[in-house]
This record gives sequence, structure tokens and C-alpha cells, in this order.
Amino acid sequence: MTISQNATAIADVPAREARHILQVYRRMPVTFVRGEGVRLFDANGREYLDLLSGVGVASLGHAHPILARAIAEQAQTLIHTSNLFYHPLQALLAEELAALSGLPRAFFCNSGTEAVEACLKFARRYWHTRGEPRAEFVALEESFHGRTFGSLSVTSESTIGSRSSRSCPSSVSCRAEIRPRCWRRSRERPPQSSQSLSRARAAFGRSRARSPTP
Amino acid sequence: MNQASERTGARLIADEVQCGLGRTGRPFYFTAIGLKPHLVSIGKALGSGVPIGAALLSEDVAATISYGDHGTTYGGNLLACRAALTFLDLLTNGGVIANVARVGELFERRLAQIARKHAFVKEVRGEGLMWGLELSRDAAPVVLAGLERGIIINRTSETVVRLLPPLVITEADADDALSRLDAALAVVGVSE
Repeated sequence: MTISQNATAIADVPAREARHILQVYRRMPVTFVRGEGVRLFDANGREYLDLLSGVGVASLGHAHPILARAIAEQAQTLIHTSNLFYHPLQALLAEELAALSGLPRAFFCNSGTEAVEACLKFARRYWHTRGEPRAEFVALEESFHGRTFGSLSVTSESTIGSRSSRSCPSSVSCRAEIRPRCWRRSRERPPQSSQSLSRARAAFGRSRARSPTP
Repeated sequence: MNQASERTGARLIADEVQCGLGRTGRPFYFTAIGLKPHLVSIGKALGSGVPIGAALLSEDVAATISYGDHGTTYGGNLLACRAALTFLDLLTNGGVIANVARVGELFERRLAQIARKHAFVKEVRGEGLMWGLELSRDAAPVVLAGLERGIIINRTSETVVRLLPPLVITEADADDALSRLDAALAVVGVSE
């Protein structure tokens, strides 16, 4: 019996999630276990027509035979090697995207919000490299660009609500004293400086001063 | 915006994560509005379910980025690239974009009819297979009524119902699904 067909496990899903999943999603009361084209099937075998595609992702519908075969074949060949090495497919994909978009270069990541983050970072880097650092972004009202800090900072408040978790506060660098030895740190570097510790203490002091009393 | 960019030197970023890659019946929506972006973000449809996104860059921006300026461990691995290559092949050579244009017209026609029928549907916005229905009431009961009638839709804000069907949906399935949406709106309208 596979995980998806275990009836007892499926009946328990909402209760088990309530115990161990961070509650940031108010899910619809349905548990999907299978898909075929534009159809989704829940744990009771009921059929639904999918007008959402997992929020625009399942562009070819579900369990598309050509895609399923390609993924299975690739999984049996090689899935991941990191960006430390070449592999045969990134250049092919970048070529296709260049032909479609007219933009000659691609940087690959794992999600839309990471793509937005990369664009913001590259735009800033552009001005920095040209020796005329510019840091401001102008974004459209009623926009949504994702949930990570950079993407949130160009997403309008009318879309995402309060500013409380929107912007990344300025960070303070404080070198960690890690034992056993951290491989990133050369042994020759001097020990933790008193300046960085006092910077951190000052920052903690500031944030305590800003926090409302409970 | 193109002029403002030329005047100030500001680089334009087009976020095509949701509207790009065939969703509106063309590879990218920026072409429809004549925008000339220097950076484009894509994601969602690209891997058809396998997580992959990309930033696309003009040569002038790319020329200012050096080794080590950015990076990711997983980004563009073989599995994700294989899925994306398969998707793009089907999109452009497999008739998927043409399907979006064809079925998109059906959506436009049927949604206009539906809006005329239900007074609380204030506006229908969209193109291709990306549609929003702005309601004059909370959209949550419509989403639940849809689920009860066997269609999956969602709410993007208090009052907006969103439709993003797979790009391969047939006219027959679209017709069936939109009839169910019509019925869901009717039952919510009655309960008002």
C-alpha cells in the first residue's frame, strides 16, 4: 500500500497537520491524492475540474504523460549536481528562453520569488558596478511579487496587509565563535573582536528598547 | 515606462511569474504592452510542478554581474531543467499556446455572460487563461460553493475569485467548469 492510498492516514491528515505543520495556510477541506489532465481526485475518489493549476503551476495539467516520462527518465539518469559543475541541460534551457524572450542571459533558481529577488539584486548590482550606487525600487500599486523579504519590499501594502513583517531590518554583523573549528574561517584570523561584540550588544539593546512591553 | 527608463537610466523589471509562459496566450505579457524590460522573472508554469524559476537579463545588466555575485545550490538542476525543456517544447511546438488563445476566447465569452447574470459580479478581468472576478461581496463562499460542485478556484483578496486553469484545458471541460462556476455563483447569490 502506498502512502497516498493509506485510507487511515488520509483521514487523519487535517488533525496531524494541526499538530505539526506551521499554521500559515487556511486549507480548503479536501485532500487530493491523484490527478489526470485537468482533473483532480480526492481521497474518496471524487472528481474535480481544476481551474487553478496549483496556482498557475501545473500548466500541462496533472500527470501529463510526456512530462511524467521525461521526469522519470531524468530521475533514473541524474537529478542534481549543483552549480559547481556543468551539466547538459541548463544551456539548452537558457537558449530556449533567450529565443522566446529576447533577453540573452538566464539565472536559474527554484521559485518565482527567488527570481524576483535575483532581479532586484542584479538591478542594484548594475548601478553598483557602474560606480553610481542606486538602491531604490519603484513598484506598482496593488502588486504581488512574492513572500520573501526582497519581493515583499516591492509588493504593495494593499495586497499583503501590514508592514510588520515586510522589510528586513538592518542587520549587524557579529562574527560567531564556533567550536569545533568552522571550515570557512581561516585559523590565521584574529579572535572575535570586542568591537563586533559590542555592536551586537548595542543592536540587541536597541531592539529590546523598541519592543512593546508584553 | 520605456521613456522614463531611457531618461533616468532606471532598469525595468517585468515580473512574469504568473502572467508569463503562455498564461495569456503569448510567451510573455510584456510584449503585449510594448514594455522593454531589462530583467524578467519567471517561475510557476516553467517546471509544470517541478520547482524552477529564472531571472532573464539583458546583456547590459548581465555585463555588470561577476563570478560570486549570486548563486544557488539547487537552481537549474537536471530534473528541473528537463521538466522546463519538456514544458517549453509542448508550449511552442505542441500547440499549447494556440490552445490558450482558443479556450481563452471561450472563457472571455462565458465569463461576460456570467457577470451579466449575477449582479454581485462587478467586473471580469483577464486574458487567455488568467481571469479574476471582482465581486461586491466576500468571495470565500463562492470558492466553497465551487468546491461542492467539483471545481477548484481560489480567492486572491477578500472580493476576487481567481481562475488559472491548466493551459491544456479543452473547450468541453472549460464549458463544463464554467457552468459549475455559474451554479456556485447562483447559490451564493440566493443566500444573500
